[in-house]
Amino acid sequence: MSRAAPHPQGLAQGLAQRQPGLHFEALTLKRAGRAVLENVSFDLRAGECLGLIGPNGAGKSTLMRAAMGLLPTAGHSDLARLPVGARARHAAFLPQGREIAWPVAVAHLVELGARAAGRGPDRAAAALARLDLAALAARPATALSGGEQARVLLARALAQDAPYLLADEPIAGLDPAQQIRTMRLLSDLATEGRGVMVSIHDIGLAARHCDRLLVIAAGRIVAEGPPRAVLTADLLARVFRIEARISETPEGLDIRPTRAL
Amino acid sequence: MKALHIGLGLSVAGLFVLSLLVGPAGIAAPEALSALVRGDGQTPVELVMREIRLPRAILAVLVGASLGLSGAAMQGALRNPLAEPGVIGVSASAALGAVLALQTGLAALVPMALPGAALLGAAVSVLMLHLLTRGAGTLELILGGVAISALASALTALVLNLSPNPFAVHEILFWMLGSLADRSFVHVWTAAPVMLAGWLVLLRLGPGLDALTLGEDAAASMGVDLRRLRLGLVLGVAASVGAATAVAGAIGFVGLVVPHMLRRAVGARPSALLLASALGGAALVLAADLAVRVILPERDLKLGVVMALLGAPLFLHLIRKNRSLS
Repeated sequence: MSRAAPHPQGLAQGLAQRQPGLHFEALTLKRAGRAVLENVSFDLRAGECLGLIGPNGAGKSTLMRAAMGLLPTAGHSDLARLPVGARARHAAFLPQGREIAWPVAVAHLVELGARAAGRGPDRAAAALARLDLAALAARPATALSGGEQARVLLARALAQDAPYLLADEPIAGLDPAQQIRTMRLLSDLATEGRGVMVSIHDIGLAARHCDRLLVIAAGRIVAEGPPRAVLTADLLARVFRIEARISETPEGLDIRPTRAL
Repeated sequence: MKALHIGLGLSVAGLFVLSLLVGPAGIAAPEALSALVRGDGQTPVELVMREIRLPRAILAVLVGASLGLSGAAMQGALRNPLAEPGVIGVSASAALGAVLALQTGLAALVPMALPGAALLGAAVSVLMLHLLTRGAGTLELILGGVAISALASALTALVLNLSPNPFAVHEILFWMLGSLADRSFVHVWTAAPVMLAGWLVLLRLGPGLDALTLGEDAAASMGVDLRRLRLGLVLGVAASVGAATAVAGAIGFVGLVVPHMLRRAVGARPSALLLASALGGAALVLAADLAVRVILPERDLKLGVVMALLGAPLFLHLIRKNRSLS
């Protein structure tokens, strides 16, 4: 896994403003009369790591799936309007559930991504190498540990070599070291020019690794902007029902939840 | 992978020839094989070989390949090693069609009424399933199939229940046990085109099934049209298994056991399992149909019975083996 130094955020955002992105407009989804998503509009810019945060049940996964075109949703999504067969070339999607149904070799699973996007096997090999999986390539994926499986699935998404990556809770259930490595990798991908959208529960990691945050609560966007502007004591109390210690550290913004309200 | 396919192909070829050589007529091997290609087909030996043994062996291959391929496709699409072609209700509905043809006496009057009615039963069940689960997900598809299967079985039981004719009941029960005895080339020509159409649809599902290994969302994000895949699955299984049931009756376990037996050998990839299971199914049904004729040649032992007797212990063995390995 890459361990390059984190990129200077100002530069990435400067680039992002000049680069193209994906546009999502008024995404709305009602289930049993209740609005699961209501009028959600946002952009995912090339070159930015966009963090999607919000409490359980806020609609994070639903929004990710709707943006990807996996749910029939009212409103506009640049990805959903693509023909199904063309999606894989434009955006890679890492679902929240880490399902591997059969004991297929790691290399074969990662190749699925490359093949789906019409890329050569070199992209699969590069993705395996980037996630430190070369030594496990011939092993059945189901025989690996949960953390290794998470890396295999991320490698599959990387093998698509798409300009955008939407990752739904990619660090849930991982140990701290792998959480940090995964977030570092996602922000590196953004530095390389890709647009990365990641939903995440760890507000501290989101603050340190994302260029911009989208805060969702009860199916609506309630705040949007750079982590320092968004993550105020007031918002944390209002949206997440927590009290937190917010401090500047040499590693970046530090958010430490101290009490549930 | 290639070695596996060649090995399976050779087994099918070997068992096919063996199937041509075994039968009550006791024809010597060289004479039997030359009767297939020489002469005008009028001598008794030529008639036995061309009109009885050859169609029987061909049907064993067609039926076995249909069941094995359908089983592999079902397991891949449902991501469940317990799935089998019967899950979507096609076999039970085809059997109901056949039973109605037997009960009404239509089967005795019109030559191809029985397989025709069975195919119609399969088609009606697929249409029902499609209308019931249009736009729904995989779970609804399975549940709908289970319901249709139960309904068809209940209606079959009702026909037996109300049948005034004990001979018809006897005939129906024997047909339902599944057999390839006394089939002709008319059966082959009736079933083969439908089966081949089904195979073509199922064999093309490979890449989609591979992507489904990672779940439906991942597959859809990788460009798999899930609705089209499910439609292809239902139509492909209905055509091949409907036609197989129409000519051979209910043959269980092939669709369940064969993909299990071969999964490890193909590296568990659902796409690679399709062709391998078709070949494996053909070999298994040929072998079971040979066993039927060798074990009790005088008693019309039914293929479906032998298959279940072979299949159930084999399945238990596979479960134990897989458990010790994992």
